[in-house]
Amino acid sequence: MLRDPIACKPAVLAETDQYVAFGSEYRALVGLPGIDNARVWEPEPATVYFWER
Amino acid sequence: MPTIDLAATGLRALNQALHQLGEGTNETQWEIINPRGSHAVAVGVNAPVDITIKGSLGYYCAGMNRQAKVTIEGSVGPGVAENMMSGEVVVKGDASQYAGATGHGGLLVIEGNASSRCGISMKGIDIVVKGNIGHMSAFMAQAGNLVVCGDAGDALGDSIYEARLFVRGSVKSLGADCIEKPMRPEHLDIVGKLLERAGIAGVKPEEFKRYGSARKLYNFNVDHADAYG
Repeated sequence: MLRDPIACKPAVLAETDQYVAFGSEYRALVGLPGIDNARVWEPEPATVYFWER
Repeated sequence: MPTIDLAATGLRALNQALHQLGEGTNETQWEIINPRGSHAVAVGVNAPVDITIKGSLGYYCAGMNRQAKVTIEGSVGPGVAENMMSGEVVVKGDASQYAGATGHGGLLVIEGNASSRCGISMKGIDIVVKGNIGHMSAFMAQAGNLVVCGDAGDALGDSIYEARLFVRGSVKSLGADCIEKPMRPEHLDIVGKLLERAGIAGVKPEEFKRYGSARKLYNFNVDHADAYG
């Protein structure tokens, strides 16, 4: 996942043991299972995030 | 003490009830549950009441707040306490972009991190951030104090007017016409009082550096035209 270099567009990430989700606002993620215990944060601009199992 | 279930009540009814509160109201303790990231919650309140939101919110929470104390037990989206006139807003989690934008007064406390453009165009609001702030923070900040216990991102205080910026951690870069300035006793006093009001212990005013306007840009002088880059 990569965010534009000046963080022009809003973005939010949610991570649990089961999934990684992202959207333009937290409200879009609110229906996900376990969202209350998810790690929720805003990705830094121009920074690559990757996950592997 | 009204407890409002936002999922059941709906945003318009909630905000309308809050707008109907007047100066001598008896309903001074409000609790809002199931916020589910809703936008524009508790905007335009104009009464000395306490409102606690049990969860995270979306955009413009407590916008245009006057007199109320709004506590969010979660994180908030962009524009929290934008245009606040007075009162207090406390975010227990993180705040997204342009927190406290164009705020005229009152105190905004963010116990987590704030994102980019924190305190943009601030006009007298005091903002205290326990964590870090993002890039372009305090852009064109005119008045008020921004106290950051963590780090600041790129272009801090770009085109700043007379707002005071205090950062305890590192500043990734300074914006146009923003420079480091000496901390004098009156500034230690300002920082100390704001940390106390924000309930932040364990950090001392002496650990902060002050940043502000070099005053070469807003008192426009044609010789400095190239400062616009």
